Amino acid sequence: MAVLDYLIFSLRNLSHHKLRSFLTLLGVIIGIMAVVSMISIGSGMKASLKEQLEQLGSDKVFILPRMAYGTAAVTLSDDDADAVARVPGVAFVSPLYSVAGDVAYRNERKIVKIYGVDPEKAEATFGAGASGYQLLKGRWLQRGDVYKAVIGYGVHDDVFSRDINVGSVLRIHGVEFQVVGVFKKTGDREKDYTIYANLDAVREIFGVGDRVTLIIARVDKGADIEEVRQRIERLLEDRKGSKENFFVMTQKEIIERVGEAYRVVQVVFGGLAAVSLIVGAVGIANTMVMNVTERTREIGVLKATGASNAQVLRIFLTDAAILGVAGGAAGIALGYLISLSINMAAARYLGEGMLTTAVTPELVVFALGFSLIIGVVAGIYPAYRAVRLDPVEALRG
Amino acid sequence: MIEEVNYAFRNMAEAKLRTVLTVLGIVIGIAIVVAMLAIGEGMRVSITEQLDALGGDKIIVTPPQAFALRGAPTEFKPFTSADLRAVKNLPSVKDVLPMFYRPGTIEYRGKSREIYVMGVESRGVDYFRQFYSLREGRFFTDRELRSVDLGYRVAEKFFDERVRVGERVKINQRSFEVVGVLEEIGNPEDDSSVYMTLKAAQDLYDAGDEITMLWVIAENEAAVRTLAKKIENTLEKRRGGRDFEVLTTEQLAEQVSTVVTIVTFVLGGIAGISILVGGVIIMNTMLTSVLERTREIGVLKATGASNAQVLRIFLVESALIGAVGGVLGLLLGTGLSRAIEVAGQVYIGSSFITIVDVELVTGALVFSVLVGMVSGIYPAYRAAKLDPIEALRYE
Amino acid sequence: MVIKLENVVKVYRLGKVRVHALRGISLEIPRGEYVSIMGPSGSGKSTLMNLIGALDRPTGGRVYIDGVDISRLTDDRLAVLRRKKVGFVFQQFNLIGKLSALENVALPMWFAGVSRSARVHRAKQLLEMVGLGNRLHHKPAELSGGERQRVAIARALANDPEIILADEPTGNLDTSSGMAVIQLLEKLNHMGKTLVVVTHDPEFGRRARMRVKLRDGLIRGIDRNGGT
Repeated sequence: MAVLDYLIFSLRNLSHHKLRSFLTLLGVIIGIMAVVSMISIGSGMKASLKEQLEQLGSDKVFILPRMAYGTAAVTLSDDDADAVARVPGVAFVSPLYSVAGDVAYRNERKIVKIYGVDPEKAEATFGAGASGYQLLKGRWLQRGDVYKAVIGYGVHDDVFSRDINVGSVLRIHGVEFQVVGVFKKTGDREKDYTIYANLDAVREIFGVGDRVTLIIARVDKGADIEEVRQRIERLLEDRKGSKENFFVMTQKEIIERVGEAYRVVQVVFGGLAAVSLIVGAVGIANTMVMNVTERTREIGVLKATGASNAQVLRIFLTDAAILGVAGGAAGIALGYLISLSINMAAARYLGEGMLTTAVTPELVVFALGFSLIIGVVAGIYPAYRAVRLDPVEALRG
Repeated sequence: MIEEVNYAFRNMAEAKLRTVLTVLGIVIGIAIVVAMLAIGEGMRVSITEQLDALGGDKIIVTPPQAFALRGAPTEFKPFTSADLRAVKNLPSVKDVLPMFYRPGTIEYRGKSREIYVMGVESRGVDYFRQFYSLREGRFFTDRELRSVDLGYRVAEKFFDERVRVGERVKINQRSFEVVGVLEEIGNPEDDSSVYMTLKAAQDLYDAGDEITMLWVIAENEAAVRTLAKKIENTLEKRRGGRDFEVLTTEQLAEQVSTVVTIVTFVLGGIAGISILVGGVIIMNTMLTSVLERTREIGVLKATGASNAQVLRIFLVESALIGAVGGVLGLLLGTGLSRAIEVAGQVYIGSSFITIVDVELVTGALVFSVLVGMVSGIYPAYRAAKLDPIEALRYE
Repeated sequence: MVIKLENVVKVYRLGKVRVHALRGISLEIPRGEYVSIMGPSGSGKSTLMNLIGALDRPTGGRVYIDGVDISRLTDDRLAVLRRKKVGFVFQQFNLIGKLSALENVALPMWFAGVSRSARVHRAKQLLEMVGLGNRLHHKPAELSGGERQRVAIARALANDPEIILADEPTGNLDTSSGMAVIQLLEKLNHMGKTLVVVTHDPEFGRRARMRVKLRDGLIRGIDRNGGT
């Protein structure tokens, strides 16, 4: 019998007990749906993170101290930034000081993240290229801006109960700053909920002298970024001591690190979901056992009319395989819908682009293949039992 | 009820493989959920126990925690001795213990590892005696600027050889003498820290009189809440803003509890999907059973069973499947969580425990019976509604 | 009259076709009577049996069992009536294979709410009465056809019903087992039970005191007397 014959025969068998077949399918569908959703959410998180991180730009090296609880393992300062600027291959550096500060607007006070940036370097570092910062209103910081600030979209419309616009006045730890620009929404919570102000002004308010929490080094066009990174790392090792106390990273390394964290989430969630798939397989096996019992006489007839053991085996395995694959396909479709709706919900609550989900072709192939295997494995023992029936006994029912 | 149960067992025994597979579905689902919930409960209890051990008379003043995670590292404007004095002068304050906390590196026999440096005055050891007990050696005194106590992991696990008392290590390039090794505290952070007196730590980082956090010990537990408020106000005025957090141990415990509960729910929820599938399997099996026993149902009705009695017979059977699955699943799940506990303690520390408490046990059992019943309702309904004459005619 | 039918009509649907099984039957059966119902296949014998046994309700007309009009009873009330008043014996025995003889006989008592010990006691007595006292724990598969039918008869007696209904009770038995079953049923009739037997075996049917002849859903005739 050709494969097609088996398939048609199986479909007829399965449609003989529509409800039973449907319920069996349901088990597989739920399992695959869960697995697909989990994995695609994880992939999506990784992908959107990757997207955001890519906006950092591939021409930059990031130097930062290892931190815990808002305290740093080593202190970086303007001197260190200057030293990095002198490293061959570095076009210029932009030092940053970021701090969590008490910000007041009208009558409200909240704790908001503040990036102190060098106004002259700011636009060149952040605005140029695809760093993701675009102005919605107003302008960038400029040379000479001391008590001026540019705010992220989230600060503009979400942090305080009233919108903050160009011209509004904020008080950072009591010191007045005038807002001169508002950034467009980037979808990155990090960027949107930050206030950008003059580096020196911020440092003075917080009394930290010439301390720096992040140095962004822009690399010369045409220079080998990895080489430059290593040079910077060696330089800082000389100046600061152990390598473990600070990080010198390119965008690639940042992406890798963050990706690792999400991989753990994916594995845990995917693993849990996979358990339901295993139960779905148990369901297929169960149904197949029930089918075999019911079709005892039929099996006798099959054998009496000349079917070999292998052929009977194939008949039952095909039943099981179809259940697996059909369940898998439907499960993938539903899993896709679920991840779409999670995507939409996330866009509403967490900000666009924060969480996209990825039902990639690989995932589909993997899921289908997996459900086919599940079906076949689940069906093996029952099929084997079918084959072992003695035709005479079987005919007697 | 006993009759129905007896009858149900007979029926289950009739088709053994089918029964095994059907029960298996529930067993797997319940086992996983039980394991997840046990992990969650263990986490919650472990942390709240540790916090309880601290005592309800303590308040912690720390950098804001929400900014710990992403993006550019965010600094925190540290506390100063002046801040400390201001807090100390508040009423109902018995003592204020400053702490200095920074990431750092330790070097021993040529290898460097990442650690945390904790600087605290030696009287801190008395206050936190439940946590900090010695394995070897002694605690540093406040006069020793080059003495350090090592956390359990630092001494035992970070290097190929154990670091022993009396040996020297380099912390952030500076040489220190190891005067003691601590007993395992249970969480990886504390066990990967080194402890020295406050001044030594501040010196090491050239940090003047910077203080990372303050532990305020109140005179009694009742005063704690109002004291916390006062501390908040005082420091806010001094710092020009509320860029820090003040938490009583009670509040700390609550925060932790909430987070853990959410995580547990999520994990348990995903695991719970498999129970759903298990229920579908039960429904499927019962439907087939009803179909196969059509004649039998006719006989039951002919010999006087009412519709309700037939319904009960089948409902009890599916509930029983759920119950058996629940018991076995509970056993399996308990074993699973034990295994996870053992593995977790190797990787994380002795504070990682899993707890299968009475509530979880009863919950799992009740739930599995419920799943059985709910899954069996429709098939039982079909059985009850069978026309006895048609049923008797069924071949 | 323990059983009374007034102009009973029964129509049921077989796929798309409506079958008029009974077209207007009026019948009165006195308490303690021995009745046989005979007729060719399709005459409505089994349908009539099901109505008398309160397994079904008439489409038209009325059926009274021991004075109660069954056409107005709910399913549950019908079950209670059936339980109390009627004991069935079927051609295919219809025992439950996974239960022992004792448990099969106890079945109707379980539904009637009788306590376990009482059930077991009485079931034992009944089985002894039908001569199967040494087969209490055997499953139907371990019994011969005749023995199975005797278990079925014992079961029919479980709740001490007024009426025993036997639908082709000897149909699946050989001559000698069949004879034993007939004699057993007649013994019950002597003890006071109303016995209604459906059969297509004229020898058997002739033994009844009241012989109802059915054809095409109508009573062709009723003979009385004669028989044992």
